[in-house]
Amino acid sequence: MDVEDSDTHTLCNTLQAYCTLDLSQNLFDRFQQLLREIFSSDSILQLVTHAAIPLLLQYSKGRAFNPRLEALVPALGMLIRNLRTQEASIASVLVAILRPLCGVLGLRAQNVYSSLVKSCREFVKPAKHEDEEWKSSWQSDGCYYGRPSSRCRPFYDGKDVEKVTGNVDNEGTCRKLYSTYGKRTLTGGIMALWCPHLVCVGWHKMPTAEGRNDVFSALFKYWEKAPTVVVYDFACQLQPYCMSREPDFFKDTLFGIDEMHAKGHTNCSQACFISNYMLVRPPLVPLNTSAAECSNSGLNRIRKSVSYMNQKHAIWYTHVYISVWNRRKELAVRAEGEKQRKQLQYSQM
Amino acid sequence: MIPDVANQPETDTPKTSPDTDKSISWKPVPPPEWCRLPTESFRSHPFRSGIHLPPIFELDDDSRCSCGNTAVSVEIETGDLTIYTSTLAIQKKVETSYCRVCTNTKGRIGPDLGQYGVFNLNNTIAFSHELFNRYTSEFTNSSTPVYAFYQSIKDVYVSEESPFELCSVQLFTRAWFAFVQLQEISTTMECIQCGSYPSTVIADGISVAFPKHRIQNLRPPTYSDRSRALVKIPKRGIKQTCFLGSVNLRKSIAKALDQPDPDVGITKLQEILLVKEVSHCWWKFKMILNGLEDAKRLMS
Repeated sequence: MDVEDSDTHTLCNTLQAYCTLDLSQNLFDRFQQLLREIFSSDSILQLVTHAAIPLLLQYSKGRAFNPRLEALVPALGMLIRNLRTQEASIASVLVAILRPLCGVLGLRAQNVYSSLVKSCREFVKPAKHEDEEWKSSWQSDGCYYGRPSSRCRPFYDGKDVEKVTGNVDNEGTCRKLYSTYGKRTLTGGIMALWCPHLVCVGWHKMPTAEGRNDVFSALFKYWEKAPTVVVYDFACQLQPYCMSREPDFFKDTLFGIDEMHAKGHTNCSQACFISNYMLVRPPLVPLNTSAAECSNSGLNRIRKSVSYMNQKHAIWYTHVYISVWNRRKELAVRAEGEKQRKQLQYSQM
Repeated sequence: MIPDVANQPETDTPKTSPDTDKSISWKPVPPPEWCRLPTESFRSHPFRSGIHLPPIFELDDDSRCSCGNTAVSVEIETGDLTIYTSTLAIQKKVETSYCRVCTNTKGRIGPDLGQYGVFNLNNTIAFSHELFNRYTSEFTNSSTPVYAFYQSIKDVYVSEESPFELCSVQLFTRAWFAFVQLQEISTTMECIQCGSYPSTVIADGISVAFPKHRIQNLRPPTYSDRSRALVKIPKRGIKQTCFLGSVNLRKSIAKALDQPDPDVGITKLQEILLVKEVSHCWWKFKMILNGLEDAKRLMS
């Protein structure tokens, strides 16, 4: 799919404006940032999520800039924010450039999204999904999410290979290797999902090396509704993986890489980095430190012990560790709440 | 109280050998007090080095064999029970009864002992809950393999002049795993602030792995069965979802934008734009020529 002739004209005008307009350094940097994201190899849906499409189209048709767009497309939001401090003449020229550009972006994202939705055809509809044995089956399955699964994971013919494993060769442009995680004689380790308060909300043992499939399947199986934000080391590849399989389920999810894991992602645009969204989404600020803690502390303590265990013992050992971890986190939160309540009472006296 | 089973008919239960992976204790064990949540009422009592333990543990209604059989026979024996605690081993007496279901004569019915804070492994060896909870505390606070903990406890036994040596590390490990399977330590995997389905999720794979040859029947969420649910998707590369379909053009623009010197980048961009404009004009010119030729053909 290529852009239309009129769209090419819009893009040429935008690049022409970038080359010729006499912009302040700050504005130039913001403009450059936006263009880098537009012309990156990442999916357009990474830059423009489904929720941003109507807002971009409205803006292109002359409506005022919706403040929600700042959080949805930070590169554009920051550019518009900087325009407010510029001279009126420069601002009006740039707005005249940006409106059609937003229209092109919105339409392209809409086309990609609808073609992804249309391309998925359900051949065998899953029967009503009931997972009644989850309370005991996790002990042999090595998969504990504290609740029954919401749906079963379909086989995606045309995308999945028979042996469902992490598959980095046939999709994506990012070359950071999964193989750095896990040794040949050992299983793939565990995939753990955490909330920003560092409570483990689910985990499973991976028979082979970690892959995007592990995150995708866990979210799709155990979440009623897709999370708003997913932070993952390979978010740049996870986003197209999820969108190509379940575009409707993941349409409003932001996939981001935290700063700690950003090393090696030289080919990825800023739209993939969670730090890019922090200025416009303050709740994301604590995520970087949380993500770092997930990797470095905690589970590493049991790495050596587990490496000598059989499957059953490895599952139980991990389960006890994570359960105790979660209990300690909850007790700490409760203790903090109690402390704050007492301080409040004391200050009111 | 011992149930009178002298006149009970033989059960239809097939005879089995005692399950080596199971213990005599079978009742749920409360979580360690140091990580008990305020919402949990099931709690343990302090062990206090076992000073409150009775001299003989009698059979009661909760007594059973490791195979699960609860039918106590008339012959009751009293044997020695060694209880390993975190400082020394204590010896007590325990009442046991022959299990008629187990083919192995070692299968004996014994008391659960959970109410005393004791985990009864096999009517001969028992462990205090506080010892096992201490290991749980150790390995969750710092990287402590079972063997390291076992050795440190063994050292304490020497210092405290324990009347009995600590059991083997293999037995200790087996007993700890049997114990945690009874312990109500699982959580709902929910954050009290985020709820059941947190809107923000951090996914992280960690190489906490066990040997591949020991995999038995793992079934991660990645498992799929095409006969249960099948979705067909045409094969297409993800590059088609980029903003620009033309890979070469997109790459050259991206390269120009990534130039460390913005002036060099702008010059390169202008070159690209010029080429694009010329090719666009040529394309339009070609369309006009084609149109003229079509018109000529129609006229002739």
